[in-house]
Amino acid sequence: MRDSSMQVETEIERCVASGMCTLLAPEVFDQDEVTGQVVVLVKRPAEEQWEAVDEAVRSCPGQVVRFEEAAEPAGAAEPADAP
Amino acid sequence: MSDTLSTPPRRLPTERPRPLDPPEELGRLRAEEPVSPLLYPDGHVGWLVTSHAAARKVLSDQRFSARGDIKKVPFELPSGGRPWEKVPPGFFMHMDPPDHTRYRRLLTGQFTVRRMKALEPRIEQITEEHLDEMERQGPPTDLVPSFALPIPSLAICELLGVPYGERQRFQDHSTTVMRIGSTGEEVAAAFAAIYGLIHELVQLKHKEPEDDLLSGLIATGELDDAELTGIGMLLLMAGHETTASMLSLGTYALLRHPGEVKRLREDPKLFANAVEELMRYLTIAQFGVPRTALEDVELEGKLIKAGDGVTVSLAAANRDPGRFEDADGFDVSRSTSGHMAFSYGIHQCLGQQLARVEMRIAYSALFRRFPELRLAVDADEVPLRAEATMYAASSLPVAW
Repeated sequence: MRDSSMQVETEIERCVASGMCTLLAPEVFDQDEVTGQVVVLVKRPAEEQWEAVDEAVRSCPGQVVRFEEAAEPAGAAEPADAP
Repeated sequence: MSDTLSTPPRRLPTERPRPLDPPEELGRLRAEEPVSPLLYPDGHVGWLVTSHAAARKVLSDQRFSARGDIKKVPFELPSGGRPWEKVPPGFFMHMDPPDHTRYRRLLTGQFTVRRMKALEPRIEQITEEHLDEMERQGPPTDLVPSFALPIPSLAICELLGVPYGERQRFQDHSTTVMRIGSTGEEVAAAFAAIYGLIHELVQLKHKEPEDDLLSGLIATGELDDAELTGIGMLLLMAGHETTASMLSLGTYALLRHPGEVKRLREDPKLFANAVEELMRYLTIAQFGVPRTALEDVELEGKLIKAGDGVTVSLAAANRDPGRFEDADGFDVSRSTSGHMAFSYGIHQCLGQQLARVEMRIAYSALFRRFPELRLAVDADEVPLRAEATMYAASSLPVAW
């Protein structure tokens, strides 16, 4: 079941800077000014962004972007967000 | 594993009974044997990949090489497409990592979504100027020389930083390359002339750098002049013929689907998605993408041997009913998620965001200016470039 622990993961070394993620979900992704590679703006996007993020995952030509439940309990990385 | 040939190898299907649909044979192969033996013109037997899933696997697997010096070409064309003895400096789309990675990394920052959006006002201006001229001349007009060819050419000149006074020379040579009646010698001479012009341009940017792509690449200090010229040449070719072909063939496809044009007129926001659907539906890289297996690979139950040529049919993948509902239908509002018209994997089109901006601006401005745009000849009389690497209309007479 998807919940608020859903977070964006990227493997930047495989990023080919196609810009698909930035095109599809500009509130969640951006591109580095110099390299064009993915920059995650919002690691845990709000639910209304999920569809766009899923689309970005499907469209990424380098299979760089994943959107999944946090491997660690929600809040481990960002204690302020802990439920 | 069964690696016996279940069907005798055949040549790449190229016959199109319906001009806007890929060869029917590709659809049959995709359903029956999505990785099937392919007979190359030199007698080599390699593979033809026709399903979306298998195409994605090949294009994201580094064991399948893109190297231009070992590639096998599945069709014979007067205009070439043959392997190189040695891949010229800067032609990174025909290289594997790490050579490819080095060049592509230097360029990706120049092609971000944001930078391409910044080019929008200039592309809009170029587009409006050409529409003004069409209006001044009055109908009928051939949309290829008046619209489809010059807009992408000027957009790429803008990006590279070609001075205004030089742009006509670039366009003249590009037109020779694209013209259907040009001989092999004329095409070769035009390519040589463009190479010379870009070499001169590189010298100019050394002396007088500006805010453009070539100046930016020079400033990195990581590329010599042969590499810079090669990159400029590659970008000019990749950025011109492709988008020009999409503008001519895409307009032709739209005019053959008046119901879809009506939807676009009523809701111009659909143009962005219409661009994606036109890309998917038409897949102008009609002979697919060549790869070569570097080692033995098992793919969908077939053993691809090291050295085998693998031709990935993007056109067949983009019509795969396993991936797209009503795959052969043309619907400007459908989901085109995962279409492979820009290819896939590390070589996916570097300029795709520029192409999207150009096409969205050009199609929407064209139908806004001429809402009653129509073909000035019978649809069957429009000459199509069935033998060109990039499928296109070579002439598109229209009226309004």
